[in-house]
Amino acid sequence: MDLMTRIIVAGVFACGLTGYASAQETINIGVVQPQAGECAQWGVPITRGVQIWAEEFNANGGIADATGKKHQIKVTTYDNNCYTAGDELTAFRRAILDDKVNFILQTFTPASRQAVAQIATENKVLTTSYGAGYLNAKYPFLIGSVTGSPGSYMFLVSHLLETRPDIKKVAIVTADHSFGQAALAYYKAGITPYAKRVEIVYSQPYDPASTSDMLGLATPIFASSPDLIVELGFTPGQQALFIEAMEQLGYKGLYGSEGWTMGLVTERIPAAQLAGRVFSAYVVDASEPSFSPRVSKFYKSYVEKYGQKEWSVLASVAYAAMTTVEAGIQKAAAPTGDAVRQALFTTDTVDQPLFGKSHWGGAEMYGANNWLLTPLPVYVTDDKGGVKVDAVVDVAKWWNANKDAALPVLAQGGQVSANK
Amino acid sequence: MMGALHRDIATIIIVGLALVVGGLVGTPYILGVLIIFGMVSILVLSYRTITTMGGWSFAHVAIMGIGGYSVAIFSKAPFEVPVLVAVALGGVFAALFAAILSWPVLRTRQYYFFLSTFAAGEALRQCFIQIKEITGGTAGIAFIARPGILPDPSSAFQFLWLVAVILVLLGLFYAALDASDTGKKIKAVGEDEALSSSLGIDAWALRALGFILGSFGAGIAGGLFASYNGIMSPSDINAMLMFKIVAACVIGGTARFSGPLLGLLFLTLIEEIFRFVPEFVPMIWGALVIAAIILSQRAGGGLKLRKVINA
Repeated sequence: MDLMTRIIVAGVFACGLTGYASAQETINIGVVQPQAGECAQWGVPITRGVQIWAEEFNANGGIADATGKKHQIKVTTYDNNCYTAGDELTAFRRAILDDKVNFILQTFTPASRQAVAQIATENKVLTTSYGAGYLNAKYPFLIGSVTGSPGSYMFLVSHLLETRPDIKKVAIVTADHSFGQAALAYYKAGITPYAKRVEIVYSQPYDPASTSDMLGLATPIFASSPDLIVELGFTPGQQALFIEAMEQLGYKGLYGSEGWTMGLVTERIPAAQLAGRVFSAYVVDASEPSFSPRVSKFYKSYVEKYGQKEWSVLASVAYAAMTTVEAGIQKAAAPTGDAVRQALFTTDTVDQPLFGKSHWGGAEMYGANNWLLTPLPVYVTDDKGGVKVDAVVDVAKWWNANKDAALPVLAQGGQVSANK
Repeated sequence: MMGALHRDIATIIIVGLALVVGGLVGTPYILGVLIIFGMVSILVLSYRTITTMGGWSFAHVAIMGIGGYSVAIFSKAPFEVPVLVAVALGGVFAALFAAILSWPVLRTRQYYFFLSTFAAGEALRQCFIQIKEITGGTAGIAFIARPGILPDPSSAFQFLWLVAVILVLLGLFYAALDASDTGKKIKAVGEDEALSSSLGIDAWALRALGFILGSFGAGIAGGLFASYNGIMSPSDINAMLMFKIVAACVIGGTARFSGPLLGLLFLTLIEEIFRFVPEFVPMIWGALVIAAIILSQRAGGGLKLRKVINA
């Protein structure tokens, strides 16, 4: 083959590839998360979780829709300036109006979800989160694709109180911002069924700026003599500082949160000292190998790519949230936000790739069953700084049993948007 | 040769026209960028007015919040005031707040003025968080309406028109102030307060006037922001926006109206060019401000390049 023929063949092949690629209809997915500053401690692992999820499919030719047609996935990241509602909306405008994304993963922060509800719905961009936060029947393109936050706070604290009857006093440590406010309401709702035997001894929200004086923040909490401290709002680094401060003060009780970056914690406190005392429940923790072989494989990919020290449970949370979108794409005739939404809501359950059959719920809270109630594994730390499964909470069952007690507390905390 | 007033008027009209023309030919996304550019332009022009009295306030974005919350609160039940009236009210409330604030903070100078306005802004932001019954606390107030005066309130292009008109009107007002005797006295106080006072000028009153009139513009911009975004929350009152306003003034200079607007245009372009690597934008902005400070011949004078353009 002479040079000219080679060039022509290569050109035709390249054109063919280009044509094939465009015929594939690339699925554009936006991830709106903090990419800079302190909040990037949350945003970067979440973004990586989505990227690895996409890479898994792309390496095998793409994700197939219901017709069997495969699509490559392109992930684009957008900064929201540490969950600022206005910046969340600016990021959505970029993603939807300019980059034509089909799906977006965003925070569960209620203010941020409210800010984008209209633009997501008007443009039929399926917008999901690792939890619910805010949903509304008027905005059907806003969904919560796993139990996640802030619901998990309610289920976590309730599970601990149910299984550890020696807990009599609980301190709730939450930041004074939109998602801290949500967490406070959900923690209180989770405690309500046990109100006769459990006392909330501390629940004063803190100003995020005050975390520079961690000992000052920890001292009144320690003085309230809790048996269990549940927190939400610390960055991973601050969590480690908080535990260190509490341990220095002599605290011997339990800790609960959506997740702990144990690599940072055990740099300060020996893992053995915290074994059996630090609990988490967000969505799934991929570093624990027994719950799901698929997320365990994801964990290995993550560590291989970014290193063990970079591991954060938030990556697996984002990965899990995307697997619900994945289930929708595979059931839809085309990978559009509208078609995938319809495919997901064909029945009142979804065969969730990681959690199995899960029910749509949330009507009592949000006026719409747009929140997928996936079973919630609760993790506890071991003496090596790793985690093991303490229990798996059947959240749909818990909700049916306790919603009458929990709903008024959630409403008081401004978390019920049904009929609004 | 065009005088300073004429150049300022021309600048404002050109920016207003450019916004509308850009909105006509641009994509829906560009339209959104232009709307935000227009609203931040109101913020930088009003901020420039404050700088003429010799102080660089760090409360401008918090004062903008007064305008935002005014629209959020008064446009909803039980008040249900028309949104544009609420925007105007926001400007008035912001000016009133500035009048009250000017009593303590305008007794300070230089770093102390900067620090006292920073503290006042933070205190105001905390009020927005703590007065939950009125402001919605940390979650803020969502689903704020667009002005009903627009034929199609959901139309972004019509909102851009509104922003452009308000920007031009406010700009003309600030230009007239700048060229007036009062404006010249404010600048004289800003440049040498002791000398101005020795000539019988009431320095404190003139500084307060600059601060109040500048804050009025911030309140108007805040109201427009709340209406356009449909939400007002304390997190929207953030240091990054304050930094952007200050950086626009530092990079472009504050001598004439074109300075802060060009500075803002430059920062917006950087933001858009580097939008796919957003983690680098704050670093680039920071580097630009440092470079501008090093390159500027004197504080508030702007870059040499700007002086050439402006000559």
